[in-house]
Amino acid sequence: MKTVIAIIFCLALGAYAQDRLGSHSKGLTYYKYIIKPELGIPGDVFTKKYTTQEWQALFDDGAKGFKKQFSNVSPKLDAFLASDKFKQIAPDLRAFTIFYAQDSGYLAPCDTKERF
Amino acid sequence: MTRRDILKLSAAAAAVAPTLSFAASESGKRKTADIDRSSKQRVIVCGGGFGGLTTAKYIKEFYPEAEVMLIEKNSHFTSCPYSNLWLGGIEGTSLQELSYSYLQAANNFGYRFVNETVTAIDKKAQTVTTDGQTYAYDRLVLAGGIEYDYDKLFADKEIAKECYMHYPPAMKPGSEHLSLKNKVENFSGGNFIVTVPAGGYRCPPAPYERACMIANYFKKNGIKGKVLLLDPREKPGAKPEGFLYVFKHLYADYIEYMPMSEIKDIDAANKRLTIERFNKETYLYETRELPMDEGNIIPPMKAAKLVELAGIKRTPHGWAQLEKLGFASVSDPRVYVVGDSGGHPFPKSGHMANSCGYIAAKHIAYAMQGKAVDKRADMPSNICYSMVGENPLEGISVHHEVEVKGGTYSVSAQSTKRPDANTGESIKPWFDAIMNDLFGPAKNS
Ligand SMILES: Cc1cc2nc3c(=O)[nH]c(=O)nc-3n(C[C@H](O)[C@H](O)[C@H](O)COP(=O)(O)OP(=O)(O)OC[C@H]3O[C@@H](n4cnc5c(N)ncnc54)[C@H](O)[C@@H]3O)c2cc1C
Repeated sequence: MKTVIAIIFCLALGAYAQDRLGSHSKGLTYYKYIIKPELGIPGDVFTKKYTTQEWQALFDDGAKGFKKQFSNVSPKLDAFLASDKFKQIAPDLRAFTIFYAQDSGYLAPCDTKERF
Repeated sequence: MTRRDILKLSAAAAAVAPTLSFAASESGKRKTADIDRSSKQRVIVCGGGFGGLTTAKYIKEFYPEAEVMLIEKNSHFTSCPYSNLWLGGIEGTSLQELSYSYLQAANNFGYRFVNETVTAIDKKAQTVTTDGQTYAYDRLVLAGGIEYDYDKLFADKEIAKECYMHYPPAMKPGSEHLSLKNKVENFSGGNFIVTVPAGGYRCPPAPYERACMIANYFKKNGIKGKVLLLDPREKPGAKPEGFLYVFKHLYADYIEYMPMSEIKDIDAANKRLTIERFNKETYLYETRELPMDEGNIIPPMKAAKLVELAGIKRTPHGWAQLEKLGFASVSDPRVYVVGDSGGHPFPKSGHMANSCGYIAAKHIAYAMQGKAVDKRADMPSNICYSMVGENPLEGISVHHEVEVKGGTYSVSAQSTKRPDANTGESIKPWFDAIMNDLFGPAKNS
């Protein structure tokens, strides 16, 4: 029974692209509601901190680099970075940072003027 | 212009322009070398949409000695702008109004129209191959518009195919619009789901305007239907205040705007859509199933296939990577990209494609004549109207201006916050003016 459930779960993940790669728009929402209040940095400024390659590296190995880089900002953020929820949404945050990275040529529409 | 006028004009044009009819009649029959190459410098424009038509016209104007060829796969032009009004049954609109003759444009402006599909581009040899033959060029303009990027929505290609077949996006010129119109007209009630794509896409206000126009049709015809408008964003990606006002005040019973919502699964056979929606209390995306009596699923987008065929560099988001100021590809200074395929931070609109097409034509014509070009001299701009109500006609608009900051383009936007009759009344004159620029006058010769 366990195996069957596991297979069904894998198929469900395999069918939809955003589950595999993360969704940049979901990552944007998570950033805005969970991380931004702690960091105090708008999404477009945050994502422009690093290049695509640098963000990729920060999210490698269970987002080790990301956690290290943004720890000690606030106890709330530290607790979040250590939580299962962070693990769960890390692919979306990764997609968000890469989509709007310094070298992506794209601006995040976070709270600023109307973008397209 | 009526359909009869179009047909009359096409027939007349074919009779007086043997080179045009030659190109069209040869399509698909054989692949030969470019036999009728003249000694003039030749520009090939691939794609006869807003960008390509403008560029072809103005290269001839800035450099009349150039030979300009426009290669387009469709035999007649159909406009996406204004199509939402027709979809929504706005009085006086028709499919004929959206259709124009390429031969009319080619005859008026002195370039050659070739009704073929581009299948290969060889940058090194400077040739374009179509389903008819191979043509040599001195400068190449890629103006193929957009391609749907279902890979970003579904990893399974079969699901993507099903989705396209059952719920065509109708974001490219052509028959998808007819299919959507049939869906609206035959709708008997329930949920009509319209989705807004994530990332950069063609005509940011279009899905929101479309929701309003479908709702207008339901309201006008007493259909007990509701448009569920699913948006991955927190608020509309264009004219946000105006659209939110309209959803609330004009269509409270007909449109449910669902922000921060993503497509997770689609079951076309059972007409169900699984979505994930952000819950602002739990800070989690929650999965929900929605019955979908009808739908218009608009997937993410990328540059048209022509860009891939040319093998030029693309941005990480799938658009052609262009020089900082101007329209030449970073991979090849003889290859230019105009319109929605381009990777500049401009809104992807017909007006913008027209504005950029004019500037690109100037750059190309000057370069061919060995004249210096000041790339800061002309900046493109955009005005985009959205019809939101019929009785009275009401619209909202956004105006974009471009300036150069730190050596690159910077875009600012200003949109109206409430619908008004003046804007509603401006839409038709805008459409007529831009069509007149692209096609010139219809002549009954
Ligand atoms: C519903 C809707 C409403 C819109 N409303 C507005 C509006 O009100 N105002 C506005 O400014 N913009 C509007 N737009 C946006 C506008 O339609 C596009 O931005 C515009 O068409 C872009 O022009 P383009 O030349 O890049 O692409 P297109 O106009 O799509 O032209 C591309 C052309 O290339 C051809 N082509 C592609 N591949 C090949 C090939 N291999 N060989 C030969 N030919 C090829 C295609 O057939 C097509 O004719 C709207 C769009 C939609 C979908």
